Amino acid sequence: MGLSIVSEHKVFFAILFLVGAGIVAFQAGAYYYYQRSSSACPSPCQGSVVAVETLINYGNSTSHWINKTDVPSDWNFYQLTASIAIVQATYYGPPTSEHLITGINGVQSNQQYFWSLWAICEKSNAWIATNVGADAIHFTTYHTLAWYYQATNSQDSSTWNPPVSGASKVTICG
Amino acid sequence: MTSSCTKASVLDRRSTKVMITAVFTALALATNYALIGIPNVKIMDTLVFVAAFFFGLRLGIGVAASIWLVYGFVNPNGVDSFLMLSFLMVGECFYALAGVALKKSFVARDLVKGTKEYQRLSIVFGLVGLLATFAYDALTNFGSWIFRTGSLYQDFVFGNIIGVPFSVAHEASNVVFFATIAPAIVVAATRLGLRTPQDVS
Repeated sequence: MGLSIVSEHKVFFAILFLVGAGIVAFQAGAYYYYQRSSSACPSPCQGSVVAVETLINYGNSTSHWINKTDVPSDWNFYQLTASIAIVQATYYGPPTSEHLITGINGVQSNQQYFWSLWAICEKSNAWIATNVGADAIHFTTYHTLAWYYQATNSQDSSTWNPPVSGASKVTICG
Repeated sequence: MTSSCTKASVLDRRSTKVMITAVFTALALATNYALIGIPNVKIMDTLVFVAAFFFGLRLGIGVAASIWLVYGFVNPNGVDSFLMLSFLMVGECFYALAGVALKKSFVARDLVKGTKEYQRLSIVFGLVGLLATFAYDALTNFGSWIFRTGSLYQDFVFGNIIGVPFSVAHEASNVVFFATIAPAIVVAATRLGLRTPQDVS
């Protein structure tokens, strides 16, 4: 009668807490691994510079390449984009800590069109729609990247067209 | 007693079930669109859980599927592929399963008996929410990467590492919603005398 529900159902609470703790530990580990891998930069990281080519394709047959040879190697692609174009973005704080690009050089995303992010996979020499945002892209893996203003037809990036018409495309870089 | 049986029989009607499904779906969609600017923070999952807790697994699954049939296709963030949509629907059903499982546990019995240990019950709801959300995130992160690496195991690992910032936001917010909104609705409905067919039987 006077027993609390915890003492009445010790095993249930013990299992529930253990599983909960396991989930927290699993996600903390995965988050740590994600942060470590997404903040990687070339060695030596500080002070060195890399060359990065960026294509901005406005989707109306207008596009231009920007070749920047003095990109600090500890930058991410969002920082690079902000340095070469006028960027409108919404910032989401932790845990995602990413910018959602809503406009580049005055061309805004809307219900029908959005800015997709692409990179050249050097192993297969083909374009790949990146699975992470610009903030998580460092210049260890990719040196040629693109912003492509394209129609919102699906969230499935395997159905998208690459930013250069007729260029080859892959869904996994390997 | 007569009143309880009458209420239960009304809830047994097909038209009532359709109406309840529609109301929960509308509520979930309205809150989803209101929260569209905050990625992965949604009250929808709690509502599916509550629907299944009170009205059973079939109705909970009905709410889960109805929500995604609309939200998967009418979404400012883009339209889901059919494959992804199927993962999202199955994942959403985990909340319905969690609701039914908790309904059959001592938690529901203690609530009906009028327990005052709300804080402990709140912890149970929060942990069940965490469990269901983890299962949902693991499945849907896998679904977003499936057939991309050539190995299902790698699809699972890549999807769950790249998706972890969103999973963390989803799980943290759902723990809060499940620990606060869900028990508040359950306690309020119990006090107001809601007796579902499951309660009567």
